[in-house]
Amino acid sequence: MSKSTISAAILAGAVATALTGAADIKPAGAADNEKCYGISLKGKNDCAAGKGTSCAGTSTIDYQGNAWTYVPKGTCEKMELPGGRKGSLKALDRDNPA
Amino acid sequence: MSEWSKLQSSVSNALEDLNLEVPSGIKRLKNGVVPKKRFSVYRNNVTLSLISVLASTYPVVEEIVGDEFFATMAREFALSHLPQSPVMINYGEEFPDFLKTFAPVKELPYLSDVARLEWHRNTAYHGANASPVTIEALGEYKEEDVPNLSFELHPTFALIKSDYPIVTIWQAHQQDNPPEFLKGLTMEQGEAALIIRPELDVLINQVSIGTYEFLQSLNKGLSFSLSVEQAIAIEPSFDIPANLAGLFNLGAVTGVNLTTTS
Amino acid sequence: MKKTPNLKETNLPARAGVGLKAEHYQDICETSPGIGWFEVHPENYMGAGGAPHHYLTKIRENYPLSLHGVGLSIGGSEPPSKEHLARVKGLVGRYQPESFSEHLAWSSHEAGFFNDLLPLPLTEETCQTVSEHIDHIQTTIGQKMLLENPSTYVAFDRQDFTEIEFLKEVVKRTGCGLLLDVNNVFVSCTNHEHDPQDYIKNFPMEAVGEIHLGGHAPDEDDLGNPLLIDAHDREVIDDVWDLYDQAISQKGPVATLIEWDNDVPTWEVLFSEAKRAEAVLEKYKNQTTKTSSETKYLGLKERVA
Repeated sequence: MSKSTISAAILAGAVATALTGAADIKPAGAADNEKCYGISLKGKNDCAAGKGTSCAGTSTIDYQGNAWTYVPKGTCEKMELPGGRKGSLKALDRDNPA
Repeated sequence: MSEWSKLQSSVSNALEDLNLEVPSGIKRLKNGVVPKKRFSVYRNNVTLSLISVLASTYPVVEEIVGDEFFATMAREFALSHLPQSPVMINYGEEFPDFLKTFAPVKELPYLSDVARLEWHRNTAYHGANASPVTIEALGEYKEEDVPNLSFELHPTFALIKSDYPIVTIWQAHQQDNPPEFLKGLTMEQGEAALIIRPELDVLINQVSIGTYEFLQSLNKGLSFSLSVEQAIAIEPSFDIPANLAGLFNLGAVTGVNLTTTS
Repeated sequence: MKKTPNLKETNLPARAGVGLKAEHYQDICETSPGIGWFEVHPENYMGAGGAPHHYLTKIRENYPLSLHGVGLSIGGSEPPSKEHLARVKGLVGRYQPESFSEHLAWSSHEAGFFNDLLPLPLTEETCQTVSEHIDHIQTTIGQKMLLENPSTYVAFDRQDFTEIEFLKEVVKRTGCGLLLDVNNVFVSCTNHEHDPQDYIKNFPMEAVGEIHLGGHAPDEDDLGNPLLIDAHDREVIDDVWDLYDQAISQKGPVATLIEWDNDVPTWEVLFSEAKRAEAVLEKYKNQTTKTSSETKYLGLKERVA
C-alpha cells in the first residue's frame, strides 16, 4: 500500500480540535447508540439442582428423535431476511437436516 | 485402575450418553427396579444447568429463537461441548461457531454473529480493570511526533463486524417487547460495534466502517497515522477529531506511547 | 504425606448469613443490612475484574465472608485440578475469607466438568482419596476447610461406611471441619428412607463450623416413593426448621446460611429467612458451644485403619 501519508499537521490539527471540543464529541455513528446497562449479571455457578430438574424427568424422552420438529417461536418471526424470506424456520427433521 | 475410578467412568459415560443404562454399581430399588428416574435427576441437572448457563450468556439468541427451541439447541451443544473448566463464566465460547454450522438455524444467518456480540459482552463484563487516560495526555506531544503515537487500549476492548445488522437486533432486544421496526430491518445492512467495559457497565457502541478500521488498526498496535489512513481508505469522510475524542471519552485508551521507528 | 501445622481456622460468627446474589448487590450496598455474614461461590469470582469483584470487595469490607466452592471435585478419583485450586488459592489470598468449604461430591472427570454435585460410594478407597484431596487443598490454601454432607438421589451397591461414619473418618484423617447442610439431611434421609432426626442426633457436632438451610422441591421416584430435589428455589420448610432447632440445641449457636439460588426472591424475603434463623440462634444463645477432645487431628500418616 503506497498511499500518501497524512501530514503531521493534519493529525496534530485533529488532536487540537479533539482537545478543545473533547467533551462534546463522540465517535462517528456512536452518538445515539451508546448505552449503559447498570445491571449485574447473575452468578453462573451454584450448588443447587438446576431449576426444573425434578419435573424434567421426562424431557430426556421428549427431546429424543423428533427434537427438531420444534419451530422457533421467538422474535426471529419479526425479522425479514434478504429476498423477503421470513426468518422463521420450517420444522426440521433431526435425522434429516435440511 | 481403581474400583472407584472405573465406576466413576461408567457414571460419567451414562451422564453424557442418554442411551446408556443406569450403570451397575448404582443400587437398584425394591424388587430390582432400576432407578432410572432417580439417575435422570443427575442427567437433567447436568444438561439443564449448562442450558441455563448458556441462556444467561446468550439471552438475545434465546429471545430470537424462543426458550423451547433454545433449550433444545443448547442441550445439543452442551452434550457435545462439556465444559473443560468449572468456571461457568467462561463456558460457551464455541457456541457462536456451533450456531454457524447447526442445520436447524441455517435460515437465521445473523444468529451466530449476534451470539458473538453476546460472548464479547460476557467477556468484557468479567475482563480486567484498567485506568483510562484522558485526551489531555495528547497535549504533551510535539506536532511531528503525533503521527507516530500509538495507543494502549483497555483490556476489555473488543470489536465485531457482521454482514447483518446485529447491533440493531441486539439493541432491539434490550426492552421487553422488541419493537415493530425489526420487521422493516434490511438484513443486507452490515454493522460493526465496539464493546468495552471502562467501569462497571459494558458499553456496546455501534461504529461506522471507517471507525471500525481505525480501531482495528490501533488495536493491532499500528500508529495513529497508519490507523487514520486505513480508516480514510474505506471511509473518505472519516472524522479524525470526532473519533479521537470519542475514543478517549469512552475511557478506551489506557496509555499513549511514542513509537520511535521511522 | 506431611501434615501442615498452622492452618488458619474457620472463624465465621455464630450468626445468620445468606448466599450473596448479584440481584442483591445494590440493595446490600445501599441499605447495609444487619446480617451476620455472606457466602459466595468462588467460581463466580474467577473473572479478572468488573462488577463482581467491585461489589464483593465493598461487601467484604463490611461483613465476614465464606467461600463455598463447587468446582474442586473432592469426591473424584483424580486429585482436584491444579489450575482450579490455584484460582481458589488466589481468591482466598485476595478476600481472606473466614471460611472455605466444599462438597462431599464430584463434578469433573476425563470428559470434563459436569456442573453438578455428583454422588460417590462411601468406601475405604474413597475415604482415603477424599482425605488426600482435602489434605492437599488445606495445605495449598493454608486454611482449614469445611466438608459438606450432600443431597443424594441414588445409592451405591458397595458401602463400607454410613455417611456420618465417613465424615467422621475424614475429619479424623485431615483435621477438616464439617458443614452441616440440614436441608441436605432432610432430602437425603427422605430419599433413602433414613430418620433425619437420628442423623442429626448422631452427627459429630464438635466438627461443625457452619450450617446450611435451603428449600427443596418434592417429586417421586420410579416406584412412586418421595424423591426430594435440592433445588434452593423456595423457603425452608417447617420440618427442616425443626431439624435445625434440634441441631442448634445439640451444638449451640453456629454460623447459619440461607441458600436460595433459583427463583431468587427480593432482598427483603431472603433477609426475613435469615432473621428466622437468627431467632433460633438467639434462643440458644446462652448454651455453651460443645467442644470435644475426641476429634484429634491424627494426620493421614497416622490414620487408624
